[in-house]
Amino acid sequence: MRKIIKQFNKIPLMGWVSLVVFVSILSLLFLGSFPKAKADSNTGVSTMPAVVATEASAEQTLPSSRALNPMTLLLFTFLIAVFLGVEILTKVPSQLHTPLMSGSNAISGITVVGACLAAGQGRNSMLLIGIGVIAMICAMINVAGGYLVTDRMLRMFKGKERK
Amino acid sequence: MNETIKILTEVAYMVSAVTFILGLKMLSKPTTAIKGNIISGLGMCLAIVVTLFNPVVRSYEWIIIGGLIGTVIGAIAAIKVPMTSMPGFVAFFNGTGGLASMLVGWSDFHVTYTGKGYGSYSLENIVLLLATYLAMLIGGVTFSGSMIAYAKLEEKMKGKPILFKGQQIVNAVVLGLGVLAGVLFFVSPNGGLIYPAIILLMILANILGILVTIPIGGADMPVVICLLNSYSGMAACASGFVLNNTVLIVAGSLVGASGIILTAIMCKAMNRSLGNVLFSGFGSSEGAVSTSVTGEVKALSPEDAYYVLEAARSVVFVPGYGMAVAQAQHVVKELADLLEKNGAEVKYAIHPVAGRMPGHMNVLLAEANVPYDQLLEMDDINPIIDTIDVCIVVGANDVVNPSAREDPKSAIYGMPIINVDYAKTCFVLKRSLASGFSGVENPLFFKENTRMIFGDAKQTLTALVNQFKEAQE
Repeated sequence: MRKIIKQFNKIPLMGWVSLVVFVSILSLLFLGSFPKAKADSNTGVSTMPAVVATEASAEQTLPSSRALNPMTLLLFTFLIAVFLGVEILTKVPSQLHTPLMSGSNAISGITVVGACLAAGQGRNSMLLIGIGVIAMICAMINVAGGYLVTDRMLRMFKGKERK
Repeated sequence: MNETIKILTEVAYMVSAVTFILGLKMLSKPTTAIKGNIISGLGMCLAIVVTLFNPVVRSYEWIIIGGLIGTVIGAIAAIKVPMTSMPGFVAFFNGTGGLASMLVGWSDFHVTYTGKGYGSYSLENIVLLLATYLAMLIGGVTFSGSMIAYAKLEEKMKGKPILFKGQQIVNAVVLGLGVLAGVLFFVSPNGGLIYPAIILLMILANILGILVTIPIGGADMPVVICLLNSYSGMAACASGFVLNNTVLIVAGSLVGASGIILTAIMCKAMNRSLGNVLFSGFGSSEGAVSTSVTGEVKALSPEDAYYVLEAARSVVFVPGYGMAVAQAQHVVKELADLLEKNGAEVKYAIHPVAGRMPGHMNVLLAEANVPYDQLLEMDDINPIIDTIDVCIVVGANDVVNPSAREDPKSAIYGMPIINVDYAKTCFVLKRSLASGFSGVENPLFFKENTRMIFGDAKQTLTALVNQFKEAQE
């Protein structure tokens, strides 16, 4: 197991970055070629691309024998990103552990993207609006607080030349 | 038109994913860390702005209201929070992220369940079901767990482990019910009972978060914070699979990985497995001091300590959680400056788990303007520690306890420590001879070359500073 991980460590950072970009582009292409979710006459627009409607634009879909399933690509992206995270972060000096933690914590606030989608659906459901607003508040606390606190902490770290 | 927006959105998400990667990479070097954080923040802004153009977003008022409230709360907290409360607030921010992920999962479930329902068991739908379930479960655990950690770190509740009879059984039952709800959800995602089951699942997840965090004591907090940090990433990642959103998946898994790595580093620094940290309630036997260690305790007054320090050529400070409690970091720096003026070489030796979160001591000393190149890691100081004239232990205990090295029967045996007892002289600033968090007696206090300076660390150090100042006048 160790050996396998070591092999992964040998791949330089830019290699990983380009791999992620490559996979993302692929998944983008496949996702883009999928028909959009069908409109729902009662409640506006249906949102979930995962449950893709079947009727719209079958001609856009690639022939199934050749098409890679977009979900496999997402799973693949996920795996690569995990390895990338491990690769970047194994050698962080212990003095930066706190900023690293609060910085990565702020990044986990990326769920704000989901919160935006939840809060902005414009449906007439108080429950959905409530969930969306609370999600939005929480995610923004995470994002704003996380980045500002990390910045504040990092500005205190100073080398010797200052004085 | 929509198609163009969609492609642009995806490209922008990719760009922000790359900024997160670069940002994290730059965060791992002190010289580039500030820039790295800003870059990743810009990536976050890009991701948010682009999301607003998503055709799914129909109305902006709730986004703006929620976003503004959240930003103001977060910004005020971030600017106001004192550096000593940092561990608590990192936990707090972490928890809000977890809650947001849980709610995103819920919202999506509500829309799908009340709308067109979940489809057949294709790969997409299986992943969707699993991701919805995990986003709610992990998000809930992260939220309540982080809030308990926050309360413990901010001393809004007792830091001691809370243990009760049958705790493991209760945990198992709660987890079992959570899994059951998941199975139910998986078997008939559109069934009539599913909505209550999902609500129950979220409640169970939050109870589970509380249950697994309360038995964990103060000094084990670094591990738990790292773990919860990792969970919040995984929850974001799961909600990414729910929404089929690449940037959520990439960013979430990066955070998940970083949290896991930090957890592993912390566990290694304590020579304990993760399971041991989570389930043993270590330190609950606090106060059970054995009297097996014999020897003479040699106390020293600050005046006498001054003469020793005045003659010292090399001094190493070893800070611990006690320094944070006494808010002594500024006076430590003041004393260090005077010692340097006096011709001594001053360093700081920092144990990986000193304090209540990884790197806690580094942040506090940075706040007191200590340059980071004076801070040494445990592995760098131990080989040269026998050349040091004076080691000053400020509020650290278990991380300098020689029984971790010498006494195979000790509870902390095998944990790597800073070998302060190898230095020529060792000062221990402490209120009393009480044992540390682990409840293990510290034979360091009875060593030949150890001098105890009893009293509040901050007052003792201030007295030393005054002695130096008087001598210079």
